[in-house]
Amino acid sequence: MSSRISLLATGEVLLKYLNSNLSAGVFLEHNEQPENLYCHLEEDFGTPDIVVLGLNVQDPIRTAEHILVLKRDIKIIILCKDNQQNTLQKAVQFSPFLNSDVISFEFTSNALFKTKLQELADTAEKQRSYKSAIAVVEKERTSIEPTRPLVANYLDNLLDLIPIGILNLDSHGRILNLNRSAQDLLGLSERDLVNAELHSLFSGKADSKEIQALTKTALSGEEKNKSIVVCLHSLEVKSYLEISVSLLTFSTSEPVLTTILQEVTDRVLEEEKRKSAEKALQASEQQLRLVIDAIPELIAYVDANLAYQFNNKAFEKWFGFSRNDIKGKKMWQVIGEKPYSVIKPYVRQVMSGQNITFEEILSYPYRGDVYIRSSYIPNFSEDGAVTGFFLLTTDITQSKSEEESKLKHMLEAAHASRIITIGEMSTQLAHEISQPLASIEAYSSACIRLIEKERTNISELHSAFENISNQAIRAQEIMHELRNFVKKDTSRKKLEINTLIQSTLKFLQIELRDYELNIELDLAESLPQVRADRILIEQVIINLIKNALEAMQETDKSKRHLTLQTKLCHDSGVEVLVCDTGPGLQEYEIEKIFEPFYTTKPEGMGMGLAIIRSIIDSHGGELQVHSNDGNGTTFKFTLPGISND
Amino acid sequence: MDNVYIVDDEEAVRDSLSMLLKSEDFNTEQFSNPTDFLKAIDDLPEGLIILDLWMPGMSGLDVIEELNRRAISCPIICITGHGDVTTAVEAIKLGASDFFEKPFESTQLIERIKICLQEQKNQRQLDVYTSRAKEIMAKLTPRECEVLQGLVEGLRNKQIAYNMGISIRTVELHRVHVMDKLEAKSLSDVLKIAIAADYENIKL
Repeated sequence: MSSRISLLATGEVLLKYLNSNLSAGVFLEHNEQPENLYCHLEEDFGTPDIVVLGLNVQDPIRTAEHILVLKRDIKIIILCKDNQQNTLQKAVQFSPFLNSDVISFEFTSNALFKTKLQELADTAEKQRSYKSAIAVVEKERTSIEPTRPLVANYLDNLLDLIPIGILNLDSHGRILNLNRSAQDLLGLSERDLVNAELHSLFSGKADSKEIQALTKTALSGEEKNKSIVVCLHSLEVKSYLEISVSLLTFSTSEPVLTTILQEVTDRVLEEEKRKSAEKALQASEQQLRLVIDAIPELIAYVDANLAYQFNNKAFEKWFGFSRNDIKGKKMWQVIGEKPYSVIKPYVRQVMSGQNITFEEILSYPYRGDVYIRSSYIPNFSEDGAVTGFFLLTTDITQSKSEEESKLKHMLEAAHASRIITIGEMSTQLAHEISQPLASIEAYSSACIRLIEKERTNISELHSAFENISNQAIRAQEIMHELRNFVKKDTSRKKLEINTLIQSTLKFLQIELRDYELNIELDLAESLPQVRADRILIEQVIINLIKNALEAMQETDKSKRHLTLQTKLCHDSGVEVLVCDTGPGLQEYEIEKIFEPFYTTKPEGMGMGLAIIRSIIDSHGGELQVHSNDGNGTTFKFTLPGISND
Repeated sequence: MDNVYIVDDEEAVRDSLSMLLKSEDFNTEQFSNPTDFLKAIDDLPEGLIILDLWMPGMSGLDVIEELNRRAISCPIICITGHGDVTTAVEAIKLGASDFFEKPFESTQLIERIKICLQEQKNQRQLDVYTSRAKEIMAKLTPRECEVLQGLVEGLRNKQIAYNMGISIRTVELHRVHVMDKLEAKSLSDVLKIAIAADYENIKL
């Protein structure tokens, strides 16, 4: 009998060399694929003593395993390149290689390998002669369980076929062996993977750490069935693997960890997609929320039970409740019974499906009377029933009061202008009064003359005196009318001239807008207060501004400047200057400008400045005018300040 | 008796003025509006007009302008409302004699009316005299006119004769004719008539 050596994928060159150099008693056979060999082993025909797994065998450990499953006592030599020696040596120390004769051999030259192989063949020869003695018994034993190798092979195939990667790790997390799916999943061959640390295959630092932690936990045996998902980058393709590790056995000195890999890329991607969609939805919801919260109006949704379901920040601030306090509360619980009684009919209306907008004065506790404008918009369900309504409420108290004060102001200004008109009417009045006066004078004079000349009689004198009396009554009536005209007493109060100027400008803003001109304000600070009739001084300022605007009508728009200035005057008074950039005044005009009936305006009465002067005079101030150097006119008036005592 | 026409829309003013003027022996007639007055004026005897400048419809200024247009020359005293100086000045420019601001003093008004009427009378006399002088001056022959010219210039007969190239005797003859025609008793009478007639050759 000679030793039988089966070479698997070792290459022609080595085969030829061995054929010609090994001792004659050695029988060599060569297979490119392991299947042939498996076949022989299964059929127990031409079973080799030694199998050499050549460098071209991609998964030598699995192949060795397979061979050992089929035939336990075959010696297997795994050829390897320089650096794999230790790795392989280590791998074959573990199950299922226990008690098996598997060695790795670092292939450097044909000759060295031949020597080794010869040595082994000789040993095998010796062993065989020893074994043949018990071969009969052995043969009997194996024939009793003919199915065992088949079952093993079947399981092996099954392991390769299932789409779950299975690999065993040592206590350091290094790969001992693995099935085909595991290779596919990791995208590497067995040679590359064996003895590699599993975690080092994952480029993500966090992933790698997690795997280490997982193996550690598994080793400690504390947690079972724990799995993690890690990301594997290979060839620009990203895949996700679920890894679970469990402690398999303590049967050897070193524990073995069985690791199951499962590809979950689709699941992960799906999850990610869902998460990002969720996030986007959340973000848009948040944006909407922000917008609604930023709106200063009160916004809320009230359901069919008249309970608040939603509200914005302004709503919370208004009532001083938190969002959670408001949600689910009935309307009257939040806004108060009394205000609710006011809006109740509107609520009823909106709940009947009508859009409504209304303005009301609501009296809130701690808040007083508030003028609000509300819009209620019903919300309908698909079948047309009202499921609640949206409400939008604005506090219009301020704009209302501004409106009112503006109206009041206008009325006051109208009154003032009535007073001013008295001035303008003085000519008319004087004319009317002069008529009866002239008549009275003439009648009296005539009577005197006639009496002196003794040329009259009682009846003539009687009628003359009657006329005189009538004319006197007429004069009185005219005076009376005048007094009625100025009914309201002009009352003088303490006031700040700067404040007055600013409120006057507000009053003029509509008119100023038409002029497309900005008024420059140069107001001195900490001026003394003045005692003055607000309306009249306001009228003075309005008239001076109007004069200035009219003076600049012919001026180029870009050159129109109106400056209002206040100054301290003689330590205790104030001085107000109104400067325009109009054409200015001639010397002779300045002399005449304050005279009644002097006017440069076609429709003017020529009374404006005369009246202004009389108003300022009556306040103890002074009105002056001078031409600015080169352009424009400055009107200046002074008002005495209130003395400190 | 002098005539005074009162044009004013105020009855009281009209009536009182009328009474006042009657007390001073004026003939008065009242008009409550300018239109009535302008219709009547043509048929009225000469007189003085008291005119209110501030009336509805037609203003006093319009009345003055209309009178000017019709060449009716009457003294006009305007009465105006208080402070209506501008209109009053305008009235004076148009030929009104004076203006009074209401209320006015009766005495002053009457004084002024009297003065105006006196001035009017004087003017009338002067007008009559002038037109008569012109009338008789027109009777002189060209030669006589030449002699008159010499007399106005203060030349002696001899110089006149020399200038005209005629004899002194003839000059004397012409001079007598001139005196006769002008009904003058002395040389100064001749000069007065020449001046009154606004004789064209008078160079002072």
